[in-house]
Amino acid sequence: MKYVDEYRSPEIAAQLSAEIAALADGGHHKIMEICGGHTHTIYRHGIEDHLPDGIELVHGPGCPVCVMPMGRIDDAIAIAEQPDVIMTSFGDMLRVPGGRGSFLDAKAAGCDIRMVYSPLDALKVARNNPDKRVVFTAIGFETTAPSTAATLLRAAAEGLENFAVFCNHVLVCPAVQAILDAPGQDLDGFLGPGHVSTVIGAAPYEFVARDYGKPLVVSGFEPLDILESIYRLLQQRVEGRAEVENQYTRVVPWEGNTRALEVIDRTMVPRDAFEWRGLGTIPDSALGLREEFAAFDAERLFDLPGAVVEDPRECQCDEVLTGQIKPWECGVFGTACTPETPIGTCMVSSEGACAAYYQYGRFNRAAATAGAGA
Amino acid sequence: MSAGASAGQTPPRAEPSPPGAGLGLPVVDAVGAPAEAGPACITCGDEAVEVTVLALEDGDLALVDTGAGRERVSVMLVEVHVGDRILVHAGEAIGKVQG
Ligand code: SF4
Repeated sequence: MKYVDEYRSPEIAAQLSAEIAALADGGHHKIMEICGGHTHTIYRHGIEDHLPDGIELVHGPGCPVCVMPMGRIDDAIAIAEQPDVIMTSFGDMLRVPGGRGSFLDAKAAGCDIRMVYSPLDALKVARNNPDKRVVFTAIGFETTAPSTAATLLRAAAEGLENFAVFCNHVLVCPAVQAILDAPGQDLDGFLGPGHVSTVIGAAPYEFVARDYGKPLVVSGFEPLDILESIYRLLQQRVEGRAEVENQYTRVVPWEGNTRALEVIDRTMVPRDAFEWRGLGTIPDSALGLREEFAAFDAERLFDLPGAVVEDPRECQCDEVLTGQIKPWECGVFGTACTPETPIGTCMVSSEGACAAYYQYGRFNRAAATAGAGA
Repeated sequence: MSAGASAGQTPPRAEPSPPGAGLGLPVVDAVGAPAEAGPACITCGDEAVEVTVLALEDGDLALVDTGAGRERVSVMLVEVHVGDRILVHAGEAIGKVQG
């Protein structure tokens, strides 16, 4: 753990940059950061400007808002339109466009839709409104699933009868596997998500190294964490190794948070398949509520359209989410599609690649290579 | 205020260090981002919030210092003591910060 204690030192940043350049040795290395939090850090700190030209960072599917298919948004709005329903969700979800508009549009049309900061807040809304049916639209990877799971256990313990969850939790490993299985995939390694791994640990990624021969380094979110993780990926490549390493040991135990995994398992079960925006339908890639929690399951309590809704024609989120194009290559990027008027999901959350590019001024190839604001 | 919020409607959030502090790495100010937006979306993505435990409360709850204020979070899933640094995601502590 050469750098862990000093992950904010400027000397080490410069040293790492130089060592990365030496290891890269003029070659091309295509590295995917799976997590939207990493995408955001990379642009916020201009990390690409500290890397040699040959290192290409590709943005992965790890922004839960970005991978929500339009059909699920329409389902959530259909629930919100039922009598006596108060719909709750995270702020970013309110702006995600579905086939029939967003939560915000539904709210403007008279639905009671409220932003909450956590499922616990949604539970509070349910306690305070006993004559209403309060539904929480849950989204997120394994980072957020424990929060939903713990809230379900609390609701059950309290015997709360007017609270339900519309569960859209997704799992990171099946998405990574789908990317690895995609035709033409030419990635050289992965930066593994930090906080998802706090929950699931580093062990579940071993298939990436074992079955696909690609190195993966679970990384923290400080700029130095990311630089060190890239350094370690290159080191593996130079030495001809493909292993899972954990750079983020200060919060990620190798085996994860067993208590969190246990509450997820008590309340949720993998679905046979789930549609992801950009990646299509992936088997065993999402969680639904267990039979024992049927009384809290919005999917069982409400009639849902359950339709598969095509993305708008001009939207190229699928290509952005699979790393085939950079955000500025999408025809509507920064013109029709902006954070204020998102057409695609990648422009909604600040973890989305399009929103990160937009906010940090990477409007085109020149700006992207010259560095933002430079 | 809570440990799960969205850019655009985000309360100031706990920031372990000023961004890029002393790194010599530039911090790019977001263009067109709402002035009150935090440095990252913490709604639902991977970036959770590090906070310090101030007091333990009944019902597996804890009062924590986020650096930007105090809030109540669930600590059902981690063994915590007063003074511990914990990682909170969507109102739930999911891990401890070592060292
Ligand atoms: S610019 Fe908008 S429509 Fe195009 S890929 Fe990005 S989010 Fe999707």
